[in-house]
Amino acid sequence: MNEKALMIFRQLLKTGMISRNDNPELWNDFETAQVREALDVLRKQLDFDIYRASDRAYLIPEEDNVIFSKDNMDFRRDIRSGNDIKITDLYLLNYMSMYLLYEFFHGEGAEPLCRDFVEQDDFISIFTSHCESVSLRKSDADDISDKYSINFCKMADQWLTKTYGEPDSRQIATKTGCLNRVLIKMRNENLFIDDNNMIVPTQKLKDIMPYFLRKERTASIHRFLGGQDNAADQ
Amino acid sequence: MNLEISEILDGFEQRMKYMSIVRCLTEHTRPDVIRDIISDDDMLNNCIMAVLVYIMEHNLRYDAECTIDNVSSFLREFLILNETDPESSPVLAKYIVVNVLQNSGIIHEFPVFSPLTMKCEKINIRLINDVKGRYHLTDDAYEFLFRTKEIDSELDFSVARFKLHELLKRGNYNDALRQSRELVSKIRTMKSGINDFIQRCRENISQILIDEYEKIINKIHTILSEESNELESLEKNVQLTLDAMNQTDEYNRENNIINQNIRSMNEIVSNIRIAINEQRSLMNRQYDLSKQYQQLLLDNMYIRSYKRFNLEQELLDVFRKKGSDTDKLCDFAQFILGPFGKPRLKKYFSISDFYDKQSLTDKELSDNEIVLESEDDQAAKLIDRRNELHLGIIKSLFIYIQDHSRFTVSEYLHSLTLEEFENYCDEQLLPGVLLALYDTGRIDIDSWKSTPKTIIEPNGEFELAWCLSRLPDELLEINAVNIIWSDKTTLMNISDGERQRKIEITDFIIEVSANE
Repeated sequence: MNEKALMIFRQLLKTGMISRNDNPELWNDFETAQVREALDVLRKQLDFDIYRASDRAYLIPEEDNVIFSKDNMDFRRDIRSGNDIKITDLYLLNYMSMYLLYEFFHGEGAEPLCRDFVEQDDFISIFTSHCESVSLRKSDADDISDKYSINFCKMADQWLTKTYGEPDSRQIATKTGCLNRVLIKMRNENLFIDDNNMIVPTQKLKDIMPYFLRKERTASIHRFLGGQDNAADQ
Repeated sequence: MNLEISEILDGFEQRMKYMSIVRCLTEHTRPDVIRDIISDDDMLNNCIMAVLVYIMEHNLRYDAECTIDNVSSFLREFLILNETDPESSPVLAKYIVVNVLQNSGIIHEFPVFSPLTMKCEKINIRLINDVKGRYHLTDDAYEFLFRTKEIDSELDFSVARFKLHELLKRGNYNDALRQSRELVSKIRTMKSGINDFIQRCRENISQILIDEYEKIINKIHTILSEESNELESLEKNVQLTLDAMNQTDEYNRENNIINQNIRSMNEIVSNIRIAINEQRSLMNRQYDLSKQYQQLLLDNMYIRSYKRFNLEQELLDVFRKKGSDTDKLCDFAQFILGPFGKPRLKKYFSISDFYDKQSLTDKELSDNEIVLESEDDQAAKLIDRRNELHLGIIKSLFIYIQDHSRFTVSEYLHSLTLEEFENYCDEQLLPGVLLALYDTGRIDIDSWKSTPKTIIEPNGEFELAWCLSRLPDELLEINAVNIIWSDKTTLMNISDGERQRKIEITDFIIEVSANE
């Protein structure tokens, strides 16, 4: 086995990425054809992909990777799932994680990124406005049933009844507490950093988003959720 | 006609870009706290522009990024000059940098007519870049302030170098000193322009025309090859002049003007050497620029080979509609964020396993079963307590049903003892159960009895089926329970010892269909 390819693979397993700036020797080896071929063999056998963005490369486990992907419990563990977290709370935190990604990357042009940062208070206001619009629609039963499930409506109502909370709160009963829990997960995975109450996407997240938003992922998303007809085209 | 428009509007994008930058600086909401500091909009615009110029000067003069503290210090002096309270400078500095210049993180986007494509295209404007709280101007901001493209300023650089030469020849050392500082600023501007070009390529290389890249490469090459010899020659001449000044006899040296000139010349020599070093690093940068640009083009082709899905339609909408399997949706984020996660190898033989809490394995977890494991006995007790309380609520309701075939929620609540009511309202379980029953609408006892079922003890969540399975048979000798909407409401007072909350709920009607 090509030793240089193994060293690169070791670094990828350790940190999830290599870069020209941080690992100049590994990067030079990475750019040689021989090492690339050896890494391709590893990729195919171990079910992962190496995604390159500018002068950084990331290890991305494929969907059916069982060797070094996470099991289902890791998200719950990472947001410090404890005695005070119920299923409904986890549901809310899951949705909030998705909404945070959406707030940054819903750009429709060539570049999906549409903001550089958001202040924590601003994000809570945006999410609250979103839940209020869901709650307002409840009076129109036809409108609501097509777009939102009952559980989602309850989740929105649940959010609106929460108190605002202190900025560093971790209590699930407060809005800031919910956001801080999500940010714990995001920080652990090096996706967002929060600095002076500002939520900023990391370079890693900005690099990987084009890969994340590939059209063919929708099939696996729908499989996970049990299928949906007529997936919309971009 | 199209050709005529194309000719008339040649370079129109650039004009519109300047207009867009002015809009970025002047069009923004002004919160009350800022209006309290500066009530006049024109004065505020002056402060904003002054901060932008300050960041530029800070970047160029010290070749370093600028922090909000730096801006605050500058604003303090500026506010004093304008007879405004300087104590508010930190608040004003943060507002100007974060909310105005960075637009609270939202990238400015403006439609601009392009004579090349003959339609409106969207352009993005950023005025400053932020790396961990340190700010530097973007290419667009430099252009706006200088009104020239810094990469096009090779002529300016030659003029600056020539002016310095002429000023030194005429012995005008004060002006020559200023000119030498200007020379250093210009070459640093060019360097930051290259970095900014690469940054723009990384963000969206599809918006960068190949002409722009070629122009940059050619002009750097021209200016560096022509100017490199001129600067070295100038340095030699200045050093000779300085050596001559230093050899002036002591009597003449007592003249302050000569001493001042010597100090100026020392700094001029130093600045010329800085300019030469920056020039050399620019030459190296030119090579890197070519390599990086090629790689970015390749990466862009690879990325563009993917079609992109709509985040809202394919992710959020799907999540919102799928409500039946809440437990599965609790793993949705994990599934979605999978590609981003750090790899984790399962540690089958980790020594930390020896130090983990030991417990008996009394049942195997199947792959499909998702269990929220409680970390200790206290968690299990909490779940048990919630389950018992849910059961207690349902049992008390069905006991009340024995003697009442039609009643309101408030009547049922009044039948509870104070202790029962306080216990059931703990963690707001009672209102939750009542709302859940209302959502159900009808509890069909006959149907529930006749269908085979596997009842799983809930994890503290309200599960009607489980509660019914724990009720004695004599309480279930009815057909169904209907929960009917009512216009009236009832008020529940809930206290947790420290706070008291009032919850208003619909006083819906419960009607029982009994067995005959």
